[in-house]
Amino acid sequence: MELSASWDADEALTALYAAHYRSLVRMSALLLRDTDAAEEVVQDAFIAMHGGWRRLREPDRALAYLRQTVINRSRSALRHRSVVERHAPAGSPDAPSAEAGALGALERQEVMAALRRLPTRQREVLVLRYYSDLSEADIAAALKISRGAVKSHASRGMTALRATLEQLPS
Amino acid sequence: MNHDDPLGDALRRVLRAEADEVQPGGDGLGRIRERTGRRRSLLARFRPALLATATVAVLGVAGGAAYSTLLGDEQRLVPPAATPTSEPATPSPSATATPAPTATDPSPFVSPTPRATRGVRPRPTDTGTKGAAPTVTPTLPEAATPPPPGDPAPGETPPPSPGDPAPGETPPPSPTATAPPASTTATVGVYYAGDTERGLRLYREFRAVPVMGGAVITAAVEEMLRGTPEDPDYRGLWAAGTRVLGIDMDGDGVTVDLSQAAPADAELALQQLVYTVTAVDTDVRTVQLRVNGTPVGEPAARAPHTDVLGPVWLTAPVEGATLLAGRVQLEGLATVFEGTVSWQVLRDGEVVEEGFTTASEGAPGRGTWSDTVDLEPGSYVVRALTYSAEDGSPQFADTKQITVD
Repeated sequence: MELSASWDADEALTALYAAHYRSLVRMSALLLRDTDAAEEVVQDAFIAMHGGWRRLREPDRALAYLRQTVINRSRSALRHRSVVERHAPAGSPDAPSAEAGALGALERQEVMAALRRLPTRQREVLVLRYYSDLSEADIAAALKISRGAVKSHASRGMTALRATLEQLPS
Repeated sequence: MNHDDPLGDALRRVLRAEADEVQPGGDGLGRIRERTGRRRSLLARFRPALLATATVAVLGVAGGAAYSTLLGDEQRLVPPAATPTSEPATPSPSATATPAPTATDPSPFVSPTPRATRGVRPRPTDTGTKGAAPTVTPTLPEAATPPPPGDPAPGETPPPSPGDPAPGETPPPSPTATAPPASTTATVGVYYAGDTERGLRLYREFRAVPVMGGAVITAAVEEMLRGTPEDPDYRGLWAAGTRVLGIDMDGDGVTVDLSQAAPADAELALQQLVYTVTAVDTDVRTVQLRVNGTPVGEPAARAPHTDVLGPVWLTAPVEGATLLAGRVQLEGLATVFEGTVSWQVLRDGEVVEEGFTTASEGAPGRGTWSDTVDLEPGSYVVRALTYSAEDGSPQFADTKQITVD
């Protein structure tokens, strides 16, 4: 489907869903560790985007808005859940499956666990950079922070993950 | 990205591998549309202006005045902001710690949630395309649309931060008038009939329909009567030329007055109407059919999905879709034994890809399902089906013709 600025809200919804729904769900799931919650967050974001389409009007802006909304909502969902989990610690809702591919499931779990121990901003910056492949400017926009802050969160995050990542087979 | 960055590459591989295991459930778009559609229809009756798109924003200033004349005193008692909270199928994001609402809840399309009492909310009447429908739909000031909490407001001017292209930063230039003022479009779920091994059953297609003056139910019923589904395997059950004479709402009941009765399959035709109307507005519980003003039977609610819906639906890709080569998402709903849904991709009549997946619920529940398939450019038929638990024969196929570019 071709990106077009002449879409109405429904057309925009359809096209942006086809192009970005799955990757947004995955991005949110990396932050949330819960596919169902991630889907809900992303569906809410699409609904908000649909409602705001008159103001957004351009696919690029709508995508930036979707990303920002998904991150904000993932963050609040996580905050809410951490309160709940403190009272009832649960197992990982999305345990990695057996077919882990080239990387050992155990090693991956360690990296993911280390990622989850990072401060929220650092984790978000790393997911946006290394999963979503966003530029520094796009990360800055999505998180509403400066590019300098993106750099420093990324470097602090990577420093904290260094020991775990170095154990991975390359 | 910097590829002289072994640690970054290692993290990238981990995140990719993790992400690949995240498989969204089926019918995400259906769920989103169901909620945007309903919100539209509710707001439409309180505030017709909200249906106006950017293309009809010309009337900005006059809008406020015209708006208040369109609504009676009773309707204005209801704060518009209260309408979104009446959505039963919208779990708040703060509820995400509860297990799996998205993948396991039946879609409101196929299993309407029981409603809390709604007696306090006055319900204006869906007036249809005639009579009280305004000829010009005014536009409310855009600030009247409250953004959901926690979202960046699309129109809000963001605090200045370097390199921040927040949505709505640039005020939109003056709107262009490319549509007639009173008409806008809404996407509605319209039901059609298709043949199955259990006789005629209903299938849903999302259709963009022109809406006059906020009468979304009327628009959906007219589209249903037109009987022109995209999928050639489906058909309408009402005679060509059947017209909507009037649509009235009273509480959770809607009366639909049509110009003629369905020529055959009257029961399923009634359910086609009931499912279509209640898909627009899930506050509606019953539909009373009238033909030329004369009531036909009692008010009817949705019949159980096991009795009237096609056991297997393939909702994505849609009929005639053109998709980009690569990974294609297959989605649908199904009421099948143990939730096992099979799918096939055919090229020139030959099966080139096939697989199966498990729906979120097995029969008699209605589950959502999804899977992916990698397709290179070409023309294909995608088919979702199940195999009979008794003799292994293929059943309930729903097929779509698609093009991959």
